[in-house]
Amino acid sequence: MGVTQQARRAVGLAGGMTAILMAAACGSGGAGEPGAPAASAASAAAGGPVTVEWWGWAPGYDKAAEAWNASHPDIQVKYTQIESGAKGGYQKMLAAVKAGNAPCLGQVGGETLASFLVEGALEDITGYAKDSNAKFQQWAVNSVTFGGRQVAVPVDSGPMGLYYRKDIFDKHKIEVPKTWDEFAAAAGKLHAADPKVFLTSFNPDDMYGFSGYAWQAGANWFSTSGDAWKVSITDEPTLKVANYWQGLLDKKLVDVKPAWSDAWFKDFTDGKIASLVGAVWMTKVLEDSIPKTSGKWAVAPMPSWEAGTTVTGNVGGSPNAVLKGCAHPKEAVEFATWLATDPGAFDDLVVNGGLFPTSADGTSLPAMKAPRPFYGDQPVFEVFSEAARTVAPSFGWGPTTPVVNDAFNSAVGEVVTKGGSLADALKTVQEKAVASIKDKGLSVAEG
Amino acid sequence: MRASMRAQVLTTAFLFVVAVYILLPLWWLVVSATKSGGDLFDTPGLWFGELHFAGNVERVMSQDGGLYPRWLLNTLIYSGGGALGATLLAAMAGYALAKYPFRGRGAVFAVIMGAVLIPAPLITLPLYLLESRLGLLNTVWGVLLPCMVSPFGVYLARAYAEAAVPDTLLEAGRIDGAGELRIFFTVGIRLMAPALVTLFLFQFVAIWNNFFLPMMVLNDQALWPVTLGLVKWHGIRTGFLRDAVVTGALISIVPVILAFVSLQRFWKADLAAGSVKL
Repeated sequence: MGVTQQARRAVGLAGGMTAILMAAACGSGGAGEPGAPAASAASAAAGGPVTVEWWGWAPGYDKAAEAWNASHPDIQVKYTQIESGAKGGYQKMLAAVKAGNAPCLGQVGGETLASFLVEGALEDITGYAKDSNAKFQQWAVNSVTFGGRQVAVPVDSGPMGLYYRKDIFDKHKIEVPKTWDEFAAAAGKLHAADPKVFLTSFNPDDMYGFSGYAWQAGANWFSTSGDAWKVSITDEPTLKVANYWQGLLDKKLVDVKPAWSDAWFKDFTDGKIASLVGAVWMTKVLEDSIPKTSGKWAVAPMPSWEAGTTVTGNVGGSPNAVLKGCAHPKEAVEFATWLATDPGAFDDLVVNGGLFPTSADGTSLPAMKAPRPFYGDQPVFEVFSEAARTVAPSFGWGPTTPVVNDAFNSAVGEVVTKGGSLADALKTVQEKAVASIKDKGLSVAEG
Repeated sequence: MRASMRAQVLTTAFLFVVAVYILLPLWWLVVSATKSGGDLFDTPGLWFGELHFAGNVERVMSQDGGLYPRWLLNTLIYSGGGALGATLLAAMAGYALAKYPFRGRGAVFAVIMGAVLIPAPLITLPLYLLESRLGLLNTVWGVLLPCMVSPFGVYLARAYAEAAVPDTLLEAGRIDGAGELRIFFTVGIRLMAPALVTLFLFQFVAIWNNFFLPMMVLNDQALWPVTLGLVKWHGIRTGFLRDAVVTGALISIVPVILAFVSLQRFWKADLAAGSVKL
């Protein structure tokens, strides 16, 4: 038993290592040194138009592809909308890679890129992308780069901000908190003034929201050193965040309804939750989900840990990755870069899809300045534009995000419903994350 | 008398609770389908808000350039065609396994029984690779063909054929000069009808609810069944379609309920007919 198990593990490990190595090898083999632009352009012209297949699900992508095709006869993009990643889109892409009929370009969430990488499903695009990376915010490029190899082109991001009910804040004379200390004080003051109202909620089942807090604090849950993964879900910044929310939980100063539940949204409608620290895409979610509170909301920067500094967390964002076997990686990267950085293209994505740009000057797009009636005609994207410039540069995801998500939601959910300590729950999450990576036959660096 | 009264009351109460438990989500669906997207969260879930049903239906039908009716039709084709094919194939295979002794009959049946134990998602990836080679990806047949195979159906048909189709009747048919196919279609299949209706319904509902296989196989949204479409709408985080999802879900279960109600009658009548005749 012991022997076979060990043998199996060894085989698995070898397999996993090869996967990484292959991804690396094939990547660099496929990419090689970027050909001189002139030569490639010539070959594209000589060989007729090139078709780049593209799979994704973000709203607005279809129209972006049409706009590109109209102005780029040499590179035609064929867009197919598939189910979103978590609903099966990722499985479909991986299956297509195995079958050898994958599209050139696929929408792969930042939290999922690493799992695609260890499956050997991504091409290395470092050579094609390096010249245009200056057009992006640096942290966004970091988030699609593993061990020095870039595997995707960033598109949108989810910088965080403080959504708050202006009317409730005014009524109880609460100043908009600039730091987390002020935020905690406000939570106490508001709940004392009206025991039915909480300043905010701590959702027991929202790993991504929590990761955004940790991201802001400077955490880096997953990184690679050599061929080994380093897992740091219990690093010092994350524990700082956990202890902070532990304090609010212990004093019963936060609402603990599950995120996205009917009851949670109902509490927002009823004015029982007065604020929310969330990503930019919550802008549209709130507008659509709780229309009765329209005009009463406003947005401020995310509270910071140290007075006078602004560092922001990020939740979400779906880069476009070049999938293994792509015959035209250069053209695919060219299109993906245009999609994310062309002012016209992205302005449409903001309007049609509510996507928020990762490009360096994307924050000056006209759509960023539009006032929104739900937020008392505040041009809220301007707040997030500032926030996007201050996103902490270090956070990374690992190859087993779904496992981490489940582990987090069960362990933290238990703390919220039955009591216990968030720090202990994070230890459990850390152990399960390490185990899940080892189960894939990958090595984990201790420490 | 008293005990039986109590038992009756308890049974009724228990069944009532079970009925409520089962019907509550359906009630929620009916109520929610009449609400506008915002009212879904702003009003209590189990009672009506402002009536917005017509607007929701209009949105379902017009969203994405009116793809929903197409999806519903596709689902009907996949479910109806798939279930019909599966029923016919299973009936023939089950009948053959029950009525014709041949070498390796036990082994064939054992393999089919083994296939019952394999969960469908497990073979979806191999199926995908196979269909990729055969060029069936993104075609109607890529969904229909795998749906026409039902190992459990073969098992059911065999068991039923063994019990309900007397050898003597087949002998009589042969003596009268009928060929084996004619005997199967005129005698065998009719005697097996109650089991076949059950099988058809099982398979119909299974395909109706199927998500994973069409998700993997189909790219073209015009070929999608309704399940894929609803999940797509549900997944759109901005520009909410919750009202359309809920109303679309309600509309999508109507044909299943119709199929059940109409076929169940047929099924009972056949059971009764069988019991009198035999």
